[in-house]
Amino acid sequence: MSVNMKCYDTTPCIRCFACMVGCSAENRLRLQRDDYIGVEKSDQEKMPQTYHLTPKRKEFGTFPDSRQVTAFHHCNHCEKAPCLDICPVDAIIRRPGGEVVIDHEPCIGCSSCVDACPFDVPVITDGKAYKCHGCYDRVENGLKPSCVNVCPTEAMFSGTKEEVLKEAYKRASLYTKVTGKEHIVYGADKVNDYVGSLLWVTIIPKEDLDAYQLDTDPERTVMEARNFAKSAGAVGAAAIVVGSVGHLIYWIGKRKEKVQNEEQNHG
Amino acid sequence: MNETSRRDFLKGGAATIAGAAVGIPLSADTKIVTSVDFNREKKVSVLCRMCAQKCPSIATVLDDRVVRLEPNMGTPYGAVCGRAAGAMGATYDADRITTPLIRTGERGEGKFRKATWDEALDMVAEKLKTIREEGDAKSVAYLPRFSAAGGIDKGFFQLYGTPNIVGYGDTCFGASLPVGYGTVMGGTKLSAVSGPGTSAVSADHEFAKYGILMQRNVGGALVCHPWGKTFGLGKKNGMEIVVIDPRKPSEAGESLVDWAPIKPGTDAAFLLGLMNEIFVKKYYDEKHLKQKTNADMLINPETGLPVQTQIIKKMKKGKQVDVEDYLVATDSGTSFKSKAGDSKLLGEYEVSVNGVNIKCKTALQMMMDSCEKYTPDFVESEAKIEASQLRKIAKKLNDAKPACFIERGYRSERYANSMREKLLMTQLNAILGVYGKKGGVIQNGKVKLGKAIKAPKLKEANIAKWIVKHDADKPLINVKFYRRAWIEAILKEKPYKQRVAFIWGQNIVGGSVGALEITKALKKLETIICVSPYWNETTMFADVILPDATFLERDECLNGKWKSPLATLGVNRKASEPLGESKDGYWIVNELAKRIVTPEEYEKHFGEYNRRGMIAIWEKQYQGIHGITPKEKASIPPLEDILNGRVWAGDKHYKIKCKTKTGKWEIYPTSLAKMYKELKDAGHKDAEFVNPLPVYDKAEVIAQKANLADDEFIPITGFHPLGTFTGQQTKNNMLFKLIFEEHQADHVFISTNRGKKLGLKDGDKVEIVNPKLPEIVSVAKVKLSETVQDDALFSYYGVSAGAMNTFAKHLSHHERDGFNPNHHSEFVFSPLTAGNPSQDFIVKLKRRA
Repeated sequence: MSVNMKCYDTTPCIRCFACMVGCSAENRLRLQRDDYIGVEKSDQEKMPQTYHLTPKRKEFGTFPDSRQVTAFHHCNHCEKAPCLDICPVDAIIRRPGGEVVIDHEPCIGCSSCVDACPFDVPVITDGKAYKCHGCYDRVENGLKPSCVNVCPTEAMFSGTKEEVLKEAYKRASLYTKVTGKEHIVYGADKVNDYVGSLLWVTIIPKEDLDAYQLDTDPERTVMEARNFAKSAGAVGAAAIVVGSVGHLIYWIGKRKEKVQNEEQNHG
Repeated sequence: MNETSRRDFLKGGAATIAGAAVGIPLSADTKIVTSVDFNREKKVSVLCRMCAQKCPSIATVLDDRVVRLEPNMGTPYGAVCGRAAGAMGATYDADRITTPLIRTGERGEGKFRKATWDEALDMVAEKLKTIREEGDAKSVAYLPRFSAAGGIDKGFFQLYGTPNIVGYGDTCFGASLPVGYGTVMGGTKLSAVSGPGTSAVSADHEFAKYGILMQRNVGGALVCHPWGKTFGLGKKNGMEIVVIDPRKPSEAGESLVDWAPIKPGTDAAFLLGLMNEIFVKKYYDEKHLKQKTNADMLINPETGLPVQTQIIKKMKKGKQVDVEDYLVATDSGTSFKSKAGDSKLLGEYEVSVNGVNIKCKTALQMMMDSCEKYTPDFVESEAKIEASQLRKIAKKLNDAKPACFIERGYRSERYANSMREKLLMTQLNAILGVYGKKGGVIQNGKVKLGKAIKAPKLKEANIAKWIVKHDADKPLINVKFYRRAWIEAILKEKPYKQRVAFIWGQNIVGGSVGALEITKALKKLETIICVSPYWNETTMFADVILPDATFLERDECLNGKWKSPLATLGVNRKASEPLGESKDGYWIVNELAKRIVTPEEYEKHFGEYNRRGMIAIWEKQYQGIHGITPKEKASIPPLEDILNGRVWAGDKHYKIKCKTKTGKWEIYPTSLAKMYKELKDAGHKDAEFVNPLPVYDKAEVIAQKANLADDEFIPITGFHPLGTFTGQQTKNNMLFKLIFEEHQADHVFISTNRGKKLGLKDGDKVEIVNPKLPEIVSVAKVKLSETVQDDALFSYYGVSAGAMNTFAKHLSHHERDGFNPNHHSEFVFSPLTAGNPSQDFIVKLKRRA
């Protein structure tokens, strides 16, 4: 199976939020189908954990050289996904199409992925971690991810990595020509050693990297505890197998202590 | 293909975690089970009505619930916005009205008791029947909206006998747009206007190189099919945009989008400056002006009228038609246009007409002379747009023409001079020659359909037609869309008394200027019936509320009218059963007809529907299809295909209709010239508003006060991409909550500069008052922003409850604070058009003690 990629192009986007509402609606449907929630609850609660793509709007500049910029906050499905590496119970896996996915069965809601993610993506709700799974269930059945499916303007598009990059570079070069400002495809190349390249790329004017809150050097100090976490992870996984709750709590406590120490040393 | 399901992946995990029973067992022959398809879904073709625009969509239905709405990609501009994606939140809103209700408290209090359908319908029918028998049917007004029973509702009320079918468009697209467009391009009869509103034309964004957005932000996604989509595609193709707006909207784009932060109410000043710059720099094509427009028409400056005209016969589409021929100047003296070779665009000439020598000028010369004073410096001082920016915009238009456009606005009844703004936009587009051109502005197509009910014509004129003849201040009123003039008729009891309002989906209190006076008028009525699934300001005044089904819960008549260059035909099909006891609108009309009209009338007009259901309506509509080319008509699929969800679209035609008497695009509008002369001769105070020359009529706020005091602001509004007109489908919608909160969409936004002067900081609560109506006070949270012009107080339209927020007590998820300018405005009309000056007043703002 070829590797799947998604692209968000900031130029044709009309900020209608169909992608975000569509994402939530699809995840509500998944929860409904999997019997987490009933049909009533599905449309009648806020359920922030169902929004795997959220807006982070910030204002820049001073009047009249001012604007608001809506950063798209989402999982990037990193080439070197730190969440996947750190997960103590191996609940995070990579699908054949490249999507980094949390399996809610083994997930213990320990927040390791939250700590490891340099983009602040996973959220913990009711003891489980939630983040974008690339709609791998749809994609593996020949459909577009939900956000791409409802995007009215082709600002979100997806396909194989090759297809998407070809289109993305074509667009970026047109925008560069029309506006005279260099446009780039963020995430197409290695961002840094910590995350590698990304499977969710973004077309933006290069000068707007900060405005769109796209980190050119995403890091997390927690990963210096990586070796510890990896080895502890095996213990965590074992804890579930034997169902020893006491053991698990002990492990989480130790891990948090370790992380705090690391952060203090860097702070 | 690798077939996977999340159920496979999650195995039994879900049930374990939720502590719930295992889901519905799947049969052994189940093929692929995914979150997309559990093998139990059905797909239904619908036309989204989260706003009024009916974007073709596909609903996925599971266990009689719609669980997903996505675009119907079987049509060339298939697209939906975020509202559609969250339609389930509106349809299954637990606070929806799902039983008939009868008022128990005072009007406006919002106290009701539940009733059965029989009780409620009998009550309504008895009242209507009595009035009909008294011969006073005209005292019943029907106020429909898109949610009514299209195809039969208006026919029913006409059959009932009332001429007063009162549209809401005077608050939106029905007043200044038809006049401002129709006087240049024809298609309207001055006095009793009912011409091209928002639906007439579309900008061809997809192929445009440059565009001016004003009074509408295409990115706000209303009319996603096709405008939101074509706008995005245009951007993808390299279209550049400048936004003329007191507040910078994100929806138009956030990177490399030009913004001219105009002072509220001065759009006409900017457009006049643009026209002046185009004239001075000669950014027009002479050949185009001579061929297509009446720029060369010789005008008598004394009267403002063409110096001489004659009627000639011309062949048009195989028919002989009368065309008004006019005098032009040529190298060899003057001549009628039909006989002239090359004509003169500029200059002053002397003509002898019936032995009298008249000094005259070309229309273009007169326009240039009139425009001379509206220099870029004038724009800078009046509209606060830098002269250099104006010059740049004019040049960009010139470089891009004809692949450019000036947007015409939306919900654009805002100021006393709104008609002037629409006129200037049309004139500028005509001068630049963008009409009918690729990348310019083109005619929308439509499929005209047969009528399901042909009620007898009524002898009596409606209230608006009476006004055209008898109210010298409203000669340009729209005779279809006149709901505020109807309110005035209630208050004044002129031309005759109004006794009953049957309001279907309209929210007249929340949605139009002068809410306080409107509530007084409503209290004067004998009976008010509201048909609505949602609570709003107006339902608070109802005596009876009939809960109708939403678009997802009903079949609708065929639809042939979209805001699209492509004639399109489709239908909305029922996806799930109506919630609770709510009933679909066709059922409601049929039940009322049974109870009210005579058995003979009922059989003639409703008998077939009663026996056969919607198919009786669909067949009549389908059989009467016209208004498209023979080639297109031949390609229309069978009715069954349309009913099965196929959306048919015709061809894209790069054309524009021109229906003026001269057959030219009248950049010098002769119909206005006539009216101007009549009004001036009669000494009418508002005559200048129809001056055919480009002149600056000021908005009321600008005329009143050039500079605002520290605590004074002009209220401006814009659509939130997840908000709608009166917000009924979006206010209490839990699928939008997260994004509304992130945007602080219920706040009022003022400039950081002004906010600091008032000692305010983000999140402070403020009180907002119109000093002319001090009894109405809004409380809202304030947000200071660098993207709002100093004079403006911005709020998202239809998002927060506002001052008249009684209805909000019925909504579990809605704040009671916030600001709706309509609650604060006086009950006033725009001059001559009887428009809805929704932002033409000043409010004072202070920190809440």
